[in-house]
Amino acid sequence: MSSEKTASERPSALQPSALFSACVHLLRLTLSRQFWSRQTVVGLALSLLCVMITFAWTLHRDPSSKRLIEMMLVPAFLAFLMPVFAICYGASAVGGDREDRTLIYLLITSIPRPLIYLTKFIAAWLLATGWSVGVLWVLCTVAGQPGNEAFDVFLLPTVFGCTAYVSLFLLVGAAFRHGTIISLAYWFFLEVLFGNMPGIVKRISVAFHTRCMVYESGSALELGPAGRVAREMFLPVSGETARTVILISSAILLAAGMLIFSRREYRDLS
Amino acid sequence: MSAPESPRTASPATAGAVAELRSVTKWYGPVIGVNDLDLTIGPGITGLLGPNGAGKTTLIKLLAGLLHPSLGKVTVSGRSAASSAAKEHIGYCPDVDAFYEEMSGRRFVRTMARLHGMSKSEAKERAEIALAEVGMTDRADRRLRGYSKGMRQRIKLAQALVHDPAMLIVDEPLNGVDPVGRRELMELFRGFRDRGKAVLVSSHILHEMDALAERVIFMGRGRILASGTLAEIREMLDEHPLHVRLRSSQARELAAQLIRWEDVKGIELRDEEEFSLEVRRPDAFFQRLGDFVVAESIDVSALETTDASAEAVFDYIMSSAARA
Repeated sequence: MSSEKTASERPSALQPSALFSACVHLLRLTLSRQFWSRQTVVGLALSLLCVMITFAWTLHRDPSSKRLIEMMLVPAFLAFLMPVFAICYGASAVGGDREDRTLIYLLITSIPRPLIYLTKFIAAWLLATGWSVGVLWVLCTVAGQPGNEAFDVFLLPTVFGCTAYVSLFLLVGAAFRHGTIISLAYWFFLEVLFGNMPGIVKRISVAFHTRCMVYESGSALELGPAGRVAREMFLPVSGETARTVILISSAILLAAGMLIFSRREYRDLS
Repeated sequence: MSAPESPRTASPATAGAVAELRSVTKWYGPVIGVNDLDLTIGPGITGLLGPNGAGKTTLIKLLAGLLHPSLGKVTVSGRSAASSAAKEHIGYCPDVDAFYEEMSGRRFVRTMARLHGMSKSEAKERAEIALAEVGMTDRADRRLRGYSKGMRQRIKLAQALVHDPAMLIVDEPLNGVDPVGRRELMELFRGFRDRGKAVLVSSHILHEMDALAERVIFMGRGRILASGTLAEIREMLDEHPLHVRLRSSQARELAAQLIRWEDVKGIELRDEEEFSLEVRRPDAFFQRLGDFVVAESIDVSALETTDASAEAVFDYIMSSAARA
């Protein structure tokens, strides 16, 4: 036997330093496994498609910042690529482990379940936000000078939007067996359809609040929904309200996810 | 026999208990997984036997903290089994054949060590010890997806051993392992036991439990039907006398004597030199037989029990449970 302490000789619960070390290792493991995954390939393929469309668009149009944002970045990036990255990494952070049944190895470690969930959230948020900001930068760079202004307008809404989406899709992945499919369905029906409906029903969507943030941070460019009718029916909230809603709802979703993950019995693991 | 109503606990080990279940019931909606279990698991090798749906996996998952009891309490080393403190003391080898397939066996075991809070150097050292224990040291650098089932089973065991737990819970560990590997794994369990640890082994391979487990738990319909050593349980099965085959050059004379004994329920002569007996209270019978054979200088060339194996005991218990 080794001279190291046996489990019975070690303290009954992990010391804070050991717990921190275990969580950091789990973070690295999750980042590594998620980065080298199908999700990354899907996200990159869709990003490449959007970059090509943006490039083609800049060749044929007068690429002002306002037009770039309204015609390309809001529909292609804010409403499409950003949620896709969040679904790719958020829903699969716990859901992917569950589907390939490796989640059992995390559940038998000494890391408390809420911390496993929190660590998964951090990893998924880093990846989704990192890729989103990176792709945003590429899109803006491809667009040339107007893209520089657009990048500043979108940076903060992107970070906030990713936070809300990841906390939501991570929860879905942890709570339901086919989290990715449910997340995609949610995104299409709630975010795409409801998010563009007239009236205040759209306020339940993350997309609405991120758009409000974009419109406020791009107020110098006179940003807003395209068309008079759309402008009249959009009924925006202030940027501060949107930020507050996103932060509070993200915190609630994260806390709910930690609670659900802590109590849930994953009977399908074996 | 009233086994299903009142579980037979031949040797309740309360001292030095590693894990305890107290009045534990687990429901899955309207279906009952385990029903009012009271069980203490102490150091040594305990075999968990029962047909599909008996509640073995539910019991194991309750002990591993993967399920919460609907009623009652499950503790490991005095702490709730679902707590992270208890998991320090449990090494769980699941029956699921899933891994981080992109990793090598060595990296997987080290990863599990790191997830148990060990430093890099400690994880490396402990992983090597665990890999050596399961005989995978020189094969651990290959990718997991290229492993045979037996090798994957060993790596699963290594990850369960890597933090040197007080209790090892293994679900069907001998599945897919070749005979040599089985012997090695059984030696591994015995080595673990010799260090004062507890091992709970679930298996369908009953005859291997004969050789491996010091204590067995028979489960059926979510209940513990019997627990104790095989000999103890066998002795309690009054309505199923032990069958013994005996060969002797004086078979007729010996049979004539033995039929008078109160522990001998019946005798059947097979040929001039061989007969079989049905025996109650085997321990007392064998003691008396030994004394008698020596005292009377009777030549006995063969003596064997034909239904004292785990399989026979299991069949008896299950048939009794079915009648109840």
